[in-house]
Amino acid sequence: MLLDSLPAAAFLLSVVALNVAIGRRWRWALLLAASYVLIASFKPEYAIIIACATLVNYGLGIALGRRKSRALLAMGIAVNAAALIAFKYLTFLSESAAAALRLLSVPSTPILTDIILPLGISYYTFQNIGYLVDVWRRTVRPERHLGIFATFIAFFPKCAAGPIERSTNLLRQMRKRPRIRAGDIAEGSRLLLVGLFKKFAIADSVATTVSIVYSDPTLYGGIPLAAATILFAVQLYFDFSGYTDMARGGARLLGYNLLENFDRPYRASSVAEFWRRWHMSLSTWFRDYLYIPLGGNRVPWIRWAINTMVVFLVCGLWHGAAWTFVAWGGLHGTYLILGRATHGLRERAWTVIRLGGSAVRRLIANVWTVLLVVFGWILFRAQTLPDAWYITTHLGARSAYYVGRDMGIDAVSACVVIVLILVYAAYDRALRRGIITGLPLRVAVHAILLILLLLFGAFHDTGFIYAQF
Amino acid sequence: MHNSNRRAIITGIRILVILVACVLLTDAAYRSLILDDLVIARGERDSQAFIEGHPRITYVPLGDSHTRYAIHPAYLPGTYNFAMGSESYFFSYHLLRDLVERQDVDVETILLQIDTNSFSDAVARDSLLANDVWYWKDRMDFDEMRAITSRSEADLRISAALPLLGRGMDTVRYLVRGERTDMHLGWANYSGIATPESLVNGARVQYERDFASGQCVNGTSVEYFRKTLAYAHEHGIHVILIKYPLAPQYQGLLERGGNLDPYYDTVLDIADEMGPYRLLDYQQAFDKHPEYFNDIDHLNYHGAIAFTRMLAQDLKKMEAAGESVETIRSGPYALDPHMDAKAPC
Repeated sequence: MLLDSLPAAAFLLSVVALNVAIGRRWRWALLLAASYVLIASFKPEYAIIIACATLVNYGLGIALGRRKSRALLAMGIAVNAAALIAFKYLTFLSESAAAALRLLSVPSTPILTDIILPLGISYYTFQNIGYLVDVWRRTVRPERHLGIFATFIAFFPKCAAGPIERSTNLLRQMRKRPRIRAGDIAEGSRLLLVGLFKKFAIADSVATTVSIVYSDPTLYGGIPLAAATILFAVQLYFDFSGYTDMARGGARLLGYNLLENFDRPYRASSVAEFWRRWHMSLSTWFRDYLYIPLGGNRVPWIRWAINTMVVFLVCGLWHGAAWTFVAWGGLHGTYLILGRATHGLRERAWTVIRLGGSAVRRLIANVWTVLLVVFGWILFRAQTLPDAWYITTHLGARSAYYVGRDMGIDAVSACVVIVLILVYAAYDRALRRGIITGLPLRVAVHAILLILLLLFGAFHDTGFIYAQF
Repeated sequence: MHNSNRRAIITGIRILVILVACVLLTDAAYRSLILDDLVIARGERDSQAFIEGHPRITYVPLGDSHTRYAIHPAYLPGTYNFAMGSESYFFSYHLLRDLVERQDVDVETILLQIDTNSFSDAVARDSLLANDVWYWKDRMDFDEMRAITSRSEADLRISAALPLLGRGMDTVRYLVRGERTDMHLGWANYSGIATPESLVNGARVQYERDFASGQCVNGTSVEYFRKTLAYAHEHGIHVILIKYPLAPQYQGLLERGGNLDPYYDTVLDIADEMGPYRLLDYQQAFDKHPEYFNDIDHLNYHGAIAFTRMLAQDLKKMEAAGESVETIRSGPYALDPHMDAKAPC
């Protein structure tokens, strides 16, 4: 759900009110209608495409439930992958082929351009594949109620940018038709508030600076490039985790629990751990439906390295049809392979300097991991590979400009953003430690977050970064 | 209705009540503690007071911060400086209409800014009702705002009703600065003095940002420039176009980039199409006076006084000459010994 506009907020509020008023028996119909209205409001074609995907996977699920056929599963996966490739990657493939031909001095223009990218196709395609595999593995039984199945696929709080739901989680909840409790309303509202705070008060406050620098990085030297890259790391986390909180909050107001997507990823002390904390619904999907079927950890080292690289290249490509994303996935694959290759050496080094298991070791590992991840975001954010190369090779270059003015940020706004991040960190810590208890304290803390959101929210129509994937 | 549903509804209503109360209380606090003291609100109060005593205004300067910091009405009698920061022609047009129609002011001459950034795409995009919908809601209708900003009417109406939305940074800046911007009849005082290094650096930054990839002229701004001129001619208001002083470091970059001549040819062609106007070109006026600049394109306190006195003199010359003088191009400005640039504000 793209809750970054007033009409969307009004829409959610109406659906929540109707959802409480309507009987549990027909709740799926309300949620299905609401989901399709929202999807069609972007473009009616999106609703038709998701409806087709739903019907195909509904039929395949029933068939797989009757007969545990590997061929049928392969066909199901191929059909879903083909749809994703057709809508998301054909333009990219066509442009890449044309560029390759031009390199060989063969005049060529891309044949396929302007193919629509349906809303949330990357997310629901993976959800569909996961469902088919789960049915094939007999982890879940196939859903025979077309309405409930269609709601599971199109459920509007998560349709635009996930989380990538599992049949073992959301589909089971939809079958049970849970009651809505006061706790759901309170927790859903809290998640919405926190999501809005992360998105508008923090992520969007730094978005302009990142855009200015990354739109033409060749104008800048080392300090602005490094600062914009760090700010992008901030923006991306707060934008995407803010979106996830809003999606989870919206779903909770309707009585459903969506999967967690983030667990303080920048506190990871290795890249592998980062992936256990970042976009968890995607990383666990890759783990369960690609990495483990390829052999997981139980294969020879070289096979494991190849598998890891394959998983991360696909992961990169999933994010976007561009070589920058492929390179980003490749970089993370390389991090993991090198991390495992040097594991023994590093352990010995920590033991020699007597820091094994200490807090200092964890801190150093955390800082190093964050540096590696932030470095990777250059590829993720840059518009082209030459831009990424320029940024990478100029991080140490002297800047000709003031750091502040030409980046659309000054000392005051930088300080305010830092304070807002610290406020959020303190809130998150207090929440995890169970300090925010009792109604008056809960109201006061959330009122402060609300006031900060009202004052510092950059309420422009910027959209969510991950919604474009 | 099931008990759990009833409890859920009660919780939802409680949350909504707390939410609305928080929003209204914060907005009330913002209005009384901060907003009333901001430049835009003070300018609004001052201009109302001025208009009450002046049903006829001789010169109405309109434009962005260049104009606001440059024209000191104490040195140009019968003037109130109506320019605002980051003002595009979209606003200038509505300010003029508001003066003539709603406030019933008899405007004799408008002084319109035609600087290199006056039609900048970046300025227009950034300033199009980003924050001050509460101010503009009395001066234009929501349909027009919606068309210009691509924001929904509901969004605009909420912004108009709740001025605090997104104003945290301004509030912090206001609180950190600890003192109010010095203003006089719409003119705002920039007290800094540019250093040669800051002019060189600033010129390069500004040039790269605004012109390195060509002059991005905003279509909406041009459309409203035409509308402003047409409106002035329709109502018998004289039009004077002004190019404000720029630091020579900046002019040098603009000239080398070949941006200046084609840009001004286009702007003046549009003005020609719309009717008679006169032009005052002060771009090079302070080439030998870096001490008059706060930065590359804003005059400081001393610059504003020197500039306004020069402007007053030229306007007098123009009046005396009648329609025969169409353009006054000021070369490098030599300080007139009779002009006391350090006159008290």
